[in-house]
Amino acid sequence: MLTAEQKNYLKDLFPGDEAIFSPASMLAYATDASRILAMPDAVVRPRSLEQLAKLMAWAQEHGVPIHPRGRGTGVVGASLAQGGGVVVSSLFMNEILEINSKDFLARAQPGVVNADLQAELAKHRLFYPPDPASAAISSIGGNVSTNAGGMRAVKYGVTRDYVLGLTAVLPGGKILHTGGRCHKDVIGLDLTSLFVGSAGALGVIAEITLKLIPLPPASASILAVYDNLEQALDAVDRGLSIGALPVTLELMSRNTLLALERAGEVPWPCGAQAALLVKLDGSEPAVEHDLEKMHAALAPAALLRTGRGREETDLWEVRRLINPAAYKIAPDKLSNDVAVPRSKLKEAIEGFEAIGREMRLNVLCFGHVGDGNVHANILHDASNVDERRRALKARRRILDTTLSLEGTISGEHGTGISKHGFIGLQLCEDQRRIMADIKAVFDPTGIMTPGKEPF
Amino acid sequence: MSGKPSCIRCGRCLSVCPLFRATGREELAPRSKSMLLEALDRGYGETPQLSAEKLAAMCLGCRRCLDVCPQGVNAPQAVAELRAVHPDFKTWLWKNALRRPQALFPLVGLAPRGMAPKGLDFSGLEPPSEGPWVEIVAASTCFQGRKAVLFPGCAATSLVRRWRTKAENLLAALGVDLLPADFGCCGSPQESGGLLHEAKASRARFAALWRKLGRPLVATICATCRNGLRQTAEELDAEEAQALREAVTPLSAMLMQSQTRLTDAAPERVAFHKPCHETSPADELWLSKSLGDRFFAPDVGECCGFGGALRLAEPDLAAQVGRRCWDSLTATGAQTAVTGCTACVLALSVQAPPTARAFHWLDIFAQSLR
Ligand SMILES: Cc1cc2nc3c(=O)[nH]c(=O)nc-3n(C[C@H](O)[C@H](O)[C@H](O)COP(=O)(O)OP(=O)(O)OC[C@H]3O[C@@H](n4cnc5c(N)ncnc54)[C@H](O)[C@@H]3O)c2cc1C
Ligand code: SF4
Ligand code: SF4
Repeated sequence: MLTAEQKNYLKDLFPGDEAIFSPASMLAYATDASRILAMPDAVVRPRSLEQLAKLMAWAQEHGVPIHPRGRGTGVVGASLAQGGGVVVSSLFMNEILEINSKDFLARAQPGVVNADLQAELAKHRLFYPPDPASAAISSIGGNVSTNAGGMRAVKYGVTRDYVLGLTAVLPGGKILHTGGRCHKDVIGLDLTSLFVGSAGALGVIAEITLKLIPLPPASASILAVYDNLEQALDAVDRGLSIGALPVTLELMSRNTLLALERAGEVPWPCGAQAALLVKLDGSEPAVEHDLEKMHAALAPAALLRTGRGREETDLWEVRRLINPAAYKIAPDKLSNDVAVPRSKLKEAIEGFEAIGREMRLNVLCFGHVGDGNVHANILHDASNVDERRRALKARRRILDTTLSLEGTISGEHGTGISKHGFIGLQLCEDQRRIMADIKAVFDPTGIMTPGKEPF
Repeated sequence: MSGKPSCIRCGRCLSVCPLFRATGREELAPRSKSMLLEALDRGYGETPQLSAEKLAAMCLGCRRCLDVCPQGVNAPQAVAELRAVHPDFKTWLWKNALRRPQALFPLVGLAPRGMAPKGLDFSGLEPPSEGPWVEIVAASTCFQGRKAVLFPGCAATSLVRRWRTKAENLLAALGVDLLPADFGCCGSPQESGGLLHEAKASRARFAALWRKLGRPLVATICATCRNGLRQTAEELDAEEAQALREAVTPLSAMLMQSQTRLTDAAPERVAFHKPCHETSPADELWLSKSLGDRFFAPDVGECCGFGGALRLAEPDLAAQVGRRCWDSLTATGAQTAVTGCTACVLALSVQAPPTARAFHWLDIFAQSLR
């Protein structure tokens, strides 16, 4: 709880609609895609670095928890003010500051929406590859803080691979610049990378410098449908051996296809058992060449459909709808975005589906199989006590299976509130202590996102 | 799973809501409305009733969130329902409509007796002073002899009557067998203003009259009216609903095969404003055909910010949305905008930058055939 005096301080520092205290207005900031509800004590929307610095000095002095927030599309509640505190929204810091086609970089404020940046870059024939399925609705600040992956990770890597530098405001008000404009830089410890994926635990990111590459002029996609999961996974292996990496290689299991069928029109025959979505890009002749090879690699299949232009976009829109479509099967889901080494994919997915069958639950497996990242979502009705209990058990078994295959319990979403309790399954005490010590250097009094540290 | 669709907080609606886009205030976004309405329903959290209601009611009724929501959450309808159950809402609406009548433009003709606002200023709604931009050289013959009625909508019935006259002339040129009818309101503005009973009554009245006339073709000149009439179909049995959907036709679609010619008065660039409620491509096609390479459509179609009741409650907010809309229109290089919705014309006209103008497309066509 903030005192009246503390609220007044915030009102002065954030005039007009930059600060919110009314519960009705704050409700919007009390949730994200995790559907957890945690009411903050205040929401502020800074416009300048100076305001942020003053806020962070004040917060440390008063021991007020700080929770940075982008667009609230995170699925583990990482941006929520669990236990109270101030939500610092980046909504009013949303300008693209520079696009430089000679240095191949862009500078942006954290609130810029990923897709808006992509659209602006395309005008300059430049490309920022990381594209989480939430690209149209999530912020660059959020993407950097979660080290967001995305569909293109197979060929282009994840957010971390594109962050050259950033400006962060630390508890106490210090403004820290890390990295710079160079695509190569080996001086000092890599503080930039430390912030990427830190889930707001070290400070508030106020500016980001991103590496760009030339926009590939052409692309094509293939939808391949199979009679069973095994055939699809065999095709994944063949697809990855054509001598050129696809941009994207996504798998949808039977349950996933079923959910999409229930949500609307789909480009495959109803009853299909497994499907792959593959995207290739490059110059036009290269795409034509790779397309032919990929076609051959994905065959034999029950259906092979190539999409270009508008048709290609439509193929991918279906993929973006998986998350919402899951709710057509059951009202609640426990999301798992585990990742395993590619060679263990088959074992992992078959294991997860078996767990679903044993626990009498619908487990939806889909995801970026090209890089070993599998979403295994456990659909259930949380209001049914027995079902909820089984779902929680199934989740634990999925995580254990993953770790036994040398995998990780999260490939992209992080741990936030909902998975914080599982970190100990993967990280040992030594690792966690060192990480806590590192955080303490940035945040000695622990005001950043308490209880949601990603370690 | 059944019952009311529930919001899964996925955030897809944020990127399309004009209120959120213009202000960056997440508390105005559809996701927040869903949360507030749920909070009001269940009474959870520390959400005080009054401020929650006030906030939830901030909606332009543009229905853009509906198009992208994977759950089919209908925020504008929920907002309308909230307005409807609010005991003082109707009194408030009319009282304020009297003070700022432009805001409820299409509705003013329907105000309770004795409450109709006086002294409305529609000077911004004159046709282009330089004369019409397009002449119809030869009218389409596709609809000759078809029985048809004109659904002029409130605005063309009681406020800008020349739209009605113009539309009737064009229908005459098309050679349709025009039946006389007095339809009243389509229900759309009433619905979004929370006047749910009135809206339903208007729709029922329309359906009864249309049936009595032998289900003729219904020519329309306003996207919002078409939206209201579509909703009417949802209240009919399947066979009749289908017949109504087929009967409701944009006047622009009926004119499509006509031959046109640009006059000397036509500006170099004309930007098309697509109304949020528009579901037919006819107006856009007709105008791009008639204006040729002078026709421009903005990259991203923005909402005009008309928003009926919201414009009364929060004029500044609505104006912010309107400014963004004009920015996108003038970014095409045009200083004139045309549209096919009577409410949009008004919102665009009153908010036009000093050198810019907005017209209903009817006003840019010559009155009669040569
Ligand atoms: C439909 C859907 C699809 C998705 N698909 C993917 C996917 O393919 N890949 C993927 O990786 N994720 C995906 N996500 C999850 C989510 O979109 C990402 O985690 C995204 O990066 C979050 O961005 P945001 O702006 O919404 O951040 P928020 O959810 O608001 O915040 C996320 C985290 O970042 C921190 N943060 C935000 N801004 C700052 C800042 N300025 N400084 C410091 N910390 C900050 C927050 O404290 C929090 O810890 C998906 C989500 C949805 C709803
Ligand atoms: S798009 Fe629909 S489900 Fe998603 S947040 Fe908005 S209202 Fe909720
Ligand atoms: S109807 Fe329009 S203004 Fe209202 S919530 Fe939906 S998108 Fe926003």
